[in-house]
Amino acid sequence: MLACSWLCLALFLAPFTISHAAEPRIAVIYPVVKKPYSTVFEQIIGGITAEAKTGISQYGLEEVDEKQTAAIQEWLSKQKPDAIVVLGRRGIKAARNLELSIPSVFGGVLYVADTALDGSVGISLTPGPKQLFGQLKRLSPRTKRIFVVYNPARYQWLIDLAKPAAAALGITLVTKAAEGLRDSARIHRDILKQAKRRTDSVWLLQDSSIMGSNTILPMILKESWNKKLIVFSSNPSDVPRGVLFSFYADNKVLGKKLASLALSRLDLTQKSSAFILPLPDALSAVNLRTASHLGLHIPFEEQRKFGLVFPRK
Amino acid sequence: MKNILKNLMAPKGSFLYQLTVSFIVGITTLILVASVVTSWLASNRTESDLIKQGHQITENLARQSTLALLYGEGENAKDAARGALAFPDVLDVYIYDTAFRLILHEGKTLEPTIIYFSPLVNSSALILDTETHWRFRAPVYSQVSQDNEFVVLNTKPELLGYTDVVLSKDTLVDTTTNIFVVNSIIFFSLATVLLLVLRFMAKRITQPLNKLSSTMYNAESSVENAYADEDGPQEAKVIAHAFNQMIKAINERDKELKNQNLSLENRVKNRTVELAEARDRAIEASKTKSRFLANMSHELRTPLNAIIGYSELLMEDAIDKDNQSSYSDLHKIHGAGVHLLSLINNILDLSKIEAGKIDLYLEAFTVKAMISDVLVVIEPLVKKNNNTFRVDCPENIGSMCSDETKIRQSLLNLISNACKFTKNGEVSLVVRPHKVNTHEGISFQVSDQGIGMTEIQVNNIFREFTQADSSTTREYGGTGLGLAISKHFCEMMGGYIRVTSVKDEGSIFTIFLPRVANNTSTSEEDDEELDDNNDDKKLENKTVVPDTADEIDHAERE
Repeated sequence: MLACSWLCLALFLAPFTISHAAEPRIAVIYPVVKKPYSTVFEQIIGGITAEAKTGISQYGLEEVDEKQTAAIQEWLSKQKPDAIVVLGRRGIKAARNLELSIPSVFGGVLYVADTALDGSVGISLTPGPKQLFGQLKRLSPRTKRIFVVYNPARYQWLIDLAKPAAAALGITLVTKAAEGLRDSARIHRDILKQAKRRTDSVWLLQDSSIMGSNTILPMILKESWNKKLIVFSSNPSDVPRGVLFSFYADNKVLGKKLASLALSRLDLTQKSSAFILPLPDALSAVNLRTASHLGLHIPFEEQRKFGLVFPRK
Repeated sequence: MKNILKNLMAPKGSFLYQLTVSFIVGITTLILVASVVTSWLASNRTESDLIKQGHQITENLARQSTLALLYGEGENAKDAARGALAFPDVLDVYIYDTAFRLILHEGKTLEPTIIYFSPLVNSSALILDTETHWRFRAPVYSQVSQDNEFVVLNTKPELLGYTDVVLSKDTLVDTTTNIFVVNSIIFFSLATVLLLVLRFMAKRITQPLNKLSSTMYNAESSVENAYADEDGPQEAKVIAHAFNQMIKAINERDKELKNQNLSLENRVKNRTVELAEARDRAIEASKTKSRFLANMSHELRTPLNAIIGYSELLMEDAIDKDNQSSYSDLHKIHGAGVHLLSLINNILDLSKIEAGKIDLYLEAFTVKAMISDVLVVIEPLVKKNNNTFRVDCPENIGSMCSDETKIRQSLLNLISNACKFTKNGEVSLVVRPHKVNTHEGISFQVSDQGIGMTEIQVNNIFREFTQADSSTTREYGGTGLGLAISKHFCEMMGGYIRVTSVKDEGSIFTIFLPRVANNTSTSEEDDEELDDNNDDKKLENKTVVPDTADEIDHAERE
């Protein structure tokens, strides 16, 4: 299911392109993982390759240690890339130890700490609020409020993006900060108590620090089902379990977006306003049974626009 | 126990008995060991399974108790707790928060307030193990995020509380007991069948041995046809074969012994017949010899008396005519005739004795008078060898009723022999009344200081035609019949004669005769006293013995 998210992310990034006056080279550092997760990185790298045009240099990371760091450093000195794209947790961790004099971007992760990479910009695997809320509005135009519980340490940047996005659609975003599962459970229970059918909805973030997939999520799904409350999620794997919809990445598009972002960083005149960007143009997934239970009618033409439809036929 | 086993396995029992006892002991031990070991293994396995099940139930409950602990409300875990209680042997379920405050209790035990504090554990653990139950504990953590490449900031799991599950050991005890009982029943059933089979086989194996044993036992009374059947196991065949060989050898030896015995009996019978015939022939020959000698002696004495008589007449004529030379020759003829007549008389006496034709002529006579007669006859013989003669005969010696002639002949024989073998010595005659047992009698002891005899010579002295040795005959003459005749005479009269002698010192001859003669001889042992009384007197008297031929002639004329 997680792979679907990366696929959506890749598709989302597909339209991003950049033109090059010269022929800059991009180096990619990625983690060597087993299938099916390796497919995600392969597709992202494919997108980068397609966008870079001049070809890229790849470095697969088995482990991250001092010896490996030195090897990467030596590899970079030989390749002499103009920009570097680091993928996955291991890639970010390795890049943190490198002395980089070239622009770098990161991707293939949900979120990072603000101080993870100084001066670097990345694209998260989390779908953007604008896209989420737009979908919600299309499916349930009567929605007035969105409740969301978040961990400020991880998703404050997303909430900052979500608030204007909701306001633009005439929706009130009610945010509740939680320190951990206990807070999250309690807050969610309160939200579910006070939330109103048809006009209120609940947004679930993909964050294990506040969302237990076997504890809080089943409780939310159960209560929302009983109350016929709309619940949507940033985690596409929640859709089969009962949330109304979600988004996932088109990995190749994501690769292209990362490549264009890296190339754009070569122009020192362009400054990025954000440290991390949400996943643009992600692919959507919907649970028609939940929609039906909620009384939402999704025409067939609309259904065809969804990348994934549950239950599967 | 040791004594019981010792008695059971005593070697005096039969093979079958010992084999059966061995089988029973062995199989029973095997059964007990197998039952105990199997039950122990099964019990361990069951215990392991139950503990594993306890861990699983506790961990499952822990996973299902997360929400209850997040909310701090046991109600959310009630269904999960009841689900855990639905498992067999689960007695109680407890849910605690991190401060061990009881969030929920479901179960049968009425002591929910009892809290067992235990160190924090990463996974379920057995925290209490009593005789009746186990108590498992599992920590309840918030959901652990997957450590993947898409999440940079992993969420650390948060400890929310604990779940305890109390599991009964009843199933373990029941299972162990059931397994032991079932195993025992199965093993005992199998053992019974096995024992029956083994006993059947043992009986079959030992049957030849039993038959062999029976045959051997019967062979004690009779070995004839006591052969054993050579069948069964190899060892039994070998024993039976060896036994048969032994019986065969014994039978053959018995048969041979019987044949030899029969042969020996026949030979003994034949020899007995032959001996009887030889004895009869010898008796007949002896009688013939005696008859011949008696007849021949009679026939010889007649012409010899004529020779002696006519030689005496011629000697008288020669004296009258003073023909000295003729007298000398006639005297030699007369002496030779007298000697020959003496010899013939002796032979005649011996022949009569052997032929049983001599009789006793009993008459009463005074012993003193008889001694006096003997002294008259013996006087010339004493003088011949310059000997002295001593007679010791009490005046009141009394009389006897016996054959006086034979007594006199015997005494003359002894005294003449004493005088003949003694030179310049003493010859004595001691007459004493004597009593042997109840027999009143008289002893006549003749002692000399002559050449004496060795022990061997003493033993043969009374045999016919025997003297001390051949040199004695050559030197002293004589026929060797006198002592034999004297011995016969004494025995005929119910007495005996005996001799003691020392070589080169002299001899003592003793005659004992009952006062009243009879044919019952007196044993020599009864006369020990007489010998002892006379030992100190022997060889005291000396006498002189004259020339044999002349003196005998003279004695007969006297």
